[in-house]
Amino acid sequence: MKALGYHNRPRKLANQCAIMARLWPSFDYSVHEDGCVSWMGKVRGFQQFYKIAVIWSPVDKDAPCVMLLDPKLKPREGGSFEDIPHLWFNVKDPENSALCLFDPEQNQWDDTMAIAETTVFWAARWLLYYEYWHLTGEWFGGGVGHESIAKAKQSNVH
Amino acid sequence: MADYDTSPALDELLLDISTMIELSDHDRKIAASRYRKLKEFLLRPESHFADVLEDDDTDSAIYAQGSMATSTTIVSGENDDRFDIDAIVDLVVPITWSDDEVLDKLYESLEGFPDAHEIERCTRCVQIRFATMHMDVTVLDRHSEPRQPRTGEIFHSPDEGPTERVKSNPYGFARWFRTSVTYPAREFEESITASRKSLAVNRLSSRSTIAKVDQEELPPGVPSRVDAQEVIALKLMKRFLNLRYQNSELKKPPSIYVAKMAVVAGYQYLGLTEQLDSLAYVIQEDMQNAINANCGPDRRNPSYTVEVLNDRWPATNVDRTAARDEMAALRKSIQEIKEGSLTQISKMLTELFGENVAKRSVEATLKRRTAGQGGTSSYQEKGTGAVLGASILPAPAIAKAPKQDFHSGYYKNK
Repeated sequence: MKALGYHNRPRKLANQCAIMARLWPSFDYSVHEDGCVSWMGKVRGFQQFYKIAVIWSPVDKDAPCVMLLDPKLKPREGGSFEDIPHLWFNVKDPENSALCLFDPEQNQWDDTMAIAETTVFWAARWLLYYEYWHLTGEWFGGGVGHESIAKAKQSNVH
Repeated sequence: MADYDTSPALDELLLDISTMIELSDHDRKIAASRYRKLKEFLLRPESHFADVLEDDDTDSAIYAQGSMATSTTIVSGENDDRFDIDAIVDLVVPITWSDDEVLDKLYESLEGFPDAHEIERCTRCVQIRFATMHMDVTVLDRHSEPRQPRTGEIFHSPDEGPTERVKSNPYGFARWFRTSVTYPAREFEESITASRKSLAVNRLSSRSTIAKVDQEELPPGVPSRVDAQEVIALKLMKRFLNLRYQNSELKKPPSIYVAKMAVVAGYQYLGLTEQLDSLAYVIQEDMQNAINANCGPDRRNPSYTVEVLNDRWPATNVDRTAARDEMAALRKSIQEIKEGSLTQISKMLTELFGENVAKRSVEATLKRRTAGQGGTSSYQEKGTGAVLGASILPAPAIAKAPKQDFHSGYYKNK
């Protein structure tokens, strides 16, 4: 579908908030001291609901960051956090790594897009495949580059 | 907007399981051929029934009863693909026959039935055993005209003691059941059709006398499928009970009682998971009330209220307590999987319905959800984000986000 001209321009915070409130009315909105804003609420993976935080800086307008709040990220039994596919891996605090939902090199997200129409849905998809990965050890959600930090290390990429 | 109390993914798994345990169209046609053969066989000159059975080319003399008539026949166990069908031989029993003789004469008349491995005279029927199924044949001595359609008496004829006549109207019960359940919405029907296409299993071989039957239409003795949500929940409940009671010395709740309770439970708009939970709840409550009263429950055939559907079960509070506790356990499991991860759900479904079907249902849902990957994005439920394997929700409740590729890297702390 061809985007409207209006939507080719960067979206303001008010616009992002309005669409979030319409599509995800149960999400709580907060403004943080550092100027970032966040929306916290529940999305569904397979059947289970996960509380997530979508954090975004309306100033520098980088891509929003999605963290799992409850339940927290968890490796497979006998595995490590580095095995979990498609994360922005937080070395100091792996449990609080962010979900890596799109390929930045392909510019799959930019600030003309509505967070509510992209990031939150992508997070729910990520969670579905995360549950399948927990069950089977395989990631069925596709992706680019190395699947996980562990696999990247095996290939001596990082 | 999506309801947080719905369970679309779990509903999908349960629907797949019900598809795997039900009879395929092929199975149903072959089972139907047994009904046809039954009439032909009982009309042989050497049969005691040759002169008493109407040969009028209608289904009035012999027809399906029980699960076949309510469209709830399932295979019996985890590794056993057997299933049971029931037939009624509806006739005027000659006054020269004593009540004690009726089942004996039926047994003698059925000896040599095509493809039968074994024939056994039971307390209320004669059971014909085939390779992968058995057929219980019951004689109904029809009431004199004018009668309520297909009412009569069946014979309770134990090895010891006198034979008793039991008033019965299985046809009326099946008709009441089929008209009391809520017929499905288009989306639900489409999901069932899709599930059947990918998962239905043919259990009966096409060998011997039944090969040609596959090409024929079902006779009126076997009604068309009923795909109501209550019916799907009933199949799942029967599966659960089969597995739970398979190593028990106690008798399991009779299917006709569970079928009645499936209607008592009423249609649950939140979906199949809630429907199954609701069925478990009404049985649990029924058992608790009966325990308190130390008798009953007394569940009647609504089409013929002199007939007690569960006249032989439960016998004691031991039966009642066991059934109540099984329902409580099922409800607890349902509550857990409603909030559980796929790993927990997979484990629990294995416990409830058996490993084979649980594993295949999870594989099927995975296949459906990953079918579009790499080329298109997925349909997702508005309000929850749940990825949908099939269009089980109406269009306004579905969203599609732009396609993207998952990625990985190191998080840069700012």
